[in-house]
Amino acid sequence: MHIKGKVLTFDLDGHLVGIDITAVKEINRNIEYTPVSDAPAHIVGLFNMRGQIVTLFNLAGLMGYETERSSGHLTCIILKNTPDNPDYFGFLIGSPGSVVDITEEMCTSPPANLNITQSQYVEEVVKLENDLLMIINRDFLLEK
Amino acid sequence: MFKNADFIKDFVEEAASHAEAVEEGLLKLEKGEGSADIIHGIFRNVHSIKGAAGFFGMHNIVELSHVMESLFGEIRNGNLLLGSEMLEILLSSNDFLKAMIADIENSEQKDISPYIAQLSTFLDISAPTGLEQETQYEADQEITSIIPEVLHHHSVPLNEQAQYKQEYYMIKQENEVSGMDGTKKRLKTADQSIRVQVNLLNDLLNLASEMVLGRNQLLRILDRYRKEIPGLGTVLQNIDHITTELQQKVIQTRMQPLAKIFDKFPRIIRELAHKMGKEILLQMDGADVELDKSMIENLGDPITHLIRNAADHGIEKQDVRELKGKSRTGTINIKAYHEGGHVNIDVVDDGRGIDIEDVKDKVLQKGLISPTEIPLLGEREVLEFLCHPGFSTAEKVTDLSGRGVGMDVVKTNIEKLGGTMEIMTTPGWGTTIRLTLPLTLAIISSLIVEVGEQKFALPQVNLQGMVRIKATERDHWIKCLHEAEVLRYRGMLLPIVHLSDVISIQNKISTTGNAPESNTLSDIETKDEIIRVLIIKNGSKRYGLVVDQIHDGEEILVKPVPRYLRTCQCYSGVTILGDGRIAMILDPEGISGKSGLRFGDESRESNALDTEYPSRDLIEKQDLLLFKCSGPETFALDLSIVARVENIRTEQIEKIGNLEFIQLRGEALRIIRPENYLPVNIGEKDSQKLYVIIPKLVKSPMGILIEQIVDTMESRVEFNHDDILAKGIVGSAILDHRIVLLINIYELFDLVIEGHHLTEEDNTAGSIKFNVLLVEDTPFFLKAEKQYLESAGYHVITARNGQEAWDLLQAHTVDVVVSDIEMPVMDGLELINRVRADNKLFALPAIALTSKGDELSIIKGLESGFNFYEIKLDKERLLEKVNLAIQKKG
Repeated sequence: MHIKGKVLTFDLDGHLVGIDITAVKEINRNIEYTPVSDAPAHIVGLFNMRGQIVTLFNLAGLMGYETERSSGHLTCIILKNTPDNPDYFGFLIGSPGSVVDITEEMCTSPPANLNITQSQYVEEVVKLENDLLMIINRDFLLEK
Repeated sequence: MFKNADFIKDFVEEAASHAEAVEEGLLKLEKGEGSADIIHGIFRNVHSIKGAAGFFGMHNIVELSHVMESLFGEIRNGNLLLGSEMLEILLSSNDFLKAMIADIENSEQKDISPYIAQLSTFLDISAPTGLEQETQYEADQEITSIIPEVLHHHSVPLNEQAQYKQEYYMIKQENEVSGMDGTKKRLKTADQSIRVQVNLLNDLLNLASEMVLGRNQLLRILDRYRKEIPGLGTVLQNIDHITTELQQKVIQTRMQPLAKIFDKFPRIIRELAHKMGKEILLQMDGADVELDKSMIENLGDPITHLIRNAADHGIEKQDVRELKGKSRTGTINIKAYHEGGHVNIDVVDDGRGIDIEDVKDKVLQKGLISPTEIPLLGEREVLEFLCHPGFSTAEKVTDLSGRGVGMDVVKTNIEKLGGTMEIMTTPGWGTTIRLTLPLTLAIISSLIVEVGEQKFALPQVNLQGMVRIKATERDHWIKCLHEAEVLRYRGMLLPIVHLSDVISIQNKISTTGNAPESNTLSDIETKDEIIRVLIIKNGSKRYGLVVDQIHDGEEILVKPVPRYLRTCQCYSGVTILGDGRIAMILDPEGISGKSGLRFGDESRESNALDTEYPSRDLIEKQDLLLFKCSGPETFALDLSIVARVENIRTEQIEKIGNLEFIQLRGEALRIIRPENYLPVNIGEKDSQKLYVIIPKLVKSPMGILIEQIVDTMESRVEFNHDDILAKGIVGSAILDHRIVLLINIYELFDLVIEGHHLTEEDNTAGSIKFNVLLVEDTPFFLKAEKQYLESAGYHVITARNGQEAWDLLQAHTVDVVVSDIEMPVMDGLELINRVRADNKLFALPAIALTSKGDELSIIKGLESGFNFYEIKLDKERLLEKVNLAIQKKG
């Protein structure tokens, strides 16, 4: 079952990555977050979204990318919460891209040579005209 | 008399709920769920409305409910069958009753005659109809026989529609009478409360609290523009007020009365008393005090445990009590009251108290402390051992208490709720356990600390003290035992934990003086570097927590730790600080766990190494003057309010009447001896050399006469405000191993001016009070009658029906019973029957107090065994009869 519909793309450490736009609550730029000492490595810190506590994941790190975090302007994507998981979470991204329409024909399963850490989080690979877009598996993030 | 708005409001609320219950009952009957219970219930509801309305002189309501009651009475007694037609009329009458209750001010102007007329038709022809019906059905089927009737009724929908139309018509008519819009009228009689999901309330509370923080930020930013932008000030003020009010209201929605917990205690006490063969009287005050729902839920077990303890360990057997010259009946008093933004719950028993020496022996026996330390411990510190895991002073373990959860668990549970527990005791005369609880769980006071440029919040309940140590004095305060650092603190050795180590962040300060390798900051070795240690208490555990910076205290809103961070054991929550940044809330338990502190015998042994270090170098010093009066007690007065101390001789004191004066610099100054006004000992006046403390900043200056100046002391002292409770004393503290009472000079002077002597009060408190058991199901009659009786000096215990009263009679000594007749579960007649049939209770004086004033009822009541029969509600007559009854008994 391939996904279709609108996907929000963004840059993650030079890679083009996307996520189902229906899962996204908002994009926040210039955020300030509080690091949490003693937290698991994949958690960057906590962010105050108008009084809601948002846990920020290090998605790039989870994907196995180099994480030279640029200081200063940080942008993050915050996902919607669900009734059984009311805690908001999000992840830092490089820069937001655009919204693209995806049809089923454009999608393939992750290629076999994608390494395991990456393929856990990649749900689909979309063949765009000039690029390949990796769709993040939201549910897998949640299990973390 | 009591015809004030509050009572009327109570009445309206209560009557409305009764009317609502009548309707529910009638509808149940209509559906064929007919049972004797429902009819009884309706009868009682109508009766309650009638009784209460009569009290206020609302004749229309009384008249209508009286006719309805009579009708139900007939139905209840089986003389009349409830048919569909009767049901309709009862429903519409009840609707009208509801309308009158809702519009209570105008109820007297309503025309009730159509309803009375319709209802009376049934009553008039009741006898023949009843007989006819009875010939058709078995006698004992009178209630269930409604079912076929109703079924029949349902099978004719047309007929039913007609009935509804008729009802609708009635409502319209009634509205025309009152001249109000129909829909409005209906709305007004609708339910005044709705059910809401707790989650929604939680969200609301969170949002409201966020709003408060948001408002604070807004005010801070916009404050400087107040003058520049016209009108801004008003708007800001408005937002400020509304936000505060909003938060308060939302907090209120989550409040529930303590009655939820208290209600089950009489039963527990009764069973305990029975089981142990003791006589125990349970008194409860403040059941209407409200606390956050989540607290109410978590308080039940701890308080139950305390009560069990009091009943089991506290209260002695009757014979033992008698030997000691106490009343045979032990008393357990549970009091809840507000005090300074907190709610206190006291569990007081007048039992044997706790023998401090016994506790000390036990502590030694169990090896919890070394013999050298024992003399250093104050009473309070000794009593704290009662909360030590596995500690029990009871001679034997009973199945009632002493097993399972102990005091340590109670204490831990209370502390989890952000509260504290204190034990106060007078050996031989009783124990008081005081729980102090915050009003709400969500907002706690905390201290903001910083490590490695990150801020953390530490709940204030876990903070015992703070110590600042100069690097030059480090070796004096901090010792190394092998690898472990320990802090000398008030005669104890406390393990030291570096917060930075526990949560692995880089910090600047090192207590050992050796910089960690990762640390590149250069100022470590500088001489003026200060080490800041927080003294953390968590249950019986104590340790020092080293942090970089200590900021202000802040009220914070606790949010749960996000599930993604559940693995971090050092945090108990998350909060957003005033500047919008997030801070983690430290969990003392988790921190000690993670840093591998083992509490128990080892830490106690190491304590013995240290003996004498007065707490002099604490931060936030307070300058105290320590002195003694003629008694052995040591007092303290804040030096900042002392103008000077004068040296005088006894001969200089001149007496004018009862007052004492001295001449100082040409002026007469009244002098007072604090020991005459405070609950302390008065010693022999043999000293020739005396001192007079002359306070400043006091309206009517008086000198305080003292015998001896002990010391002046710079100290940061946490005064315990509750151990020694008396006007004039702020609290007690232990300084240099002695108990010091800090005097509140303003209150002391108030006492002097009032001429209030404690000894006098003690005498009056000793007079005997009679116990009155008041049985009444209607809450506001209960309230009013209780008030009457208490105003006359009786001690009143209450029950809401005969069964409760009967239970209470088993457990308590009661001098006289005042009981209503019509009550649910067990009525007054049955209660008195039981009392008269009982071997022990048969002679108990009893007064019936009811709104049923007809001759038959009176005869019935007196025949059943009531000594007096009184109609509600004449204060003088009631008190006269109670007095008579007691004399009769005496």
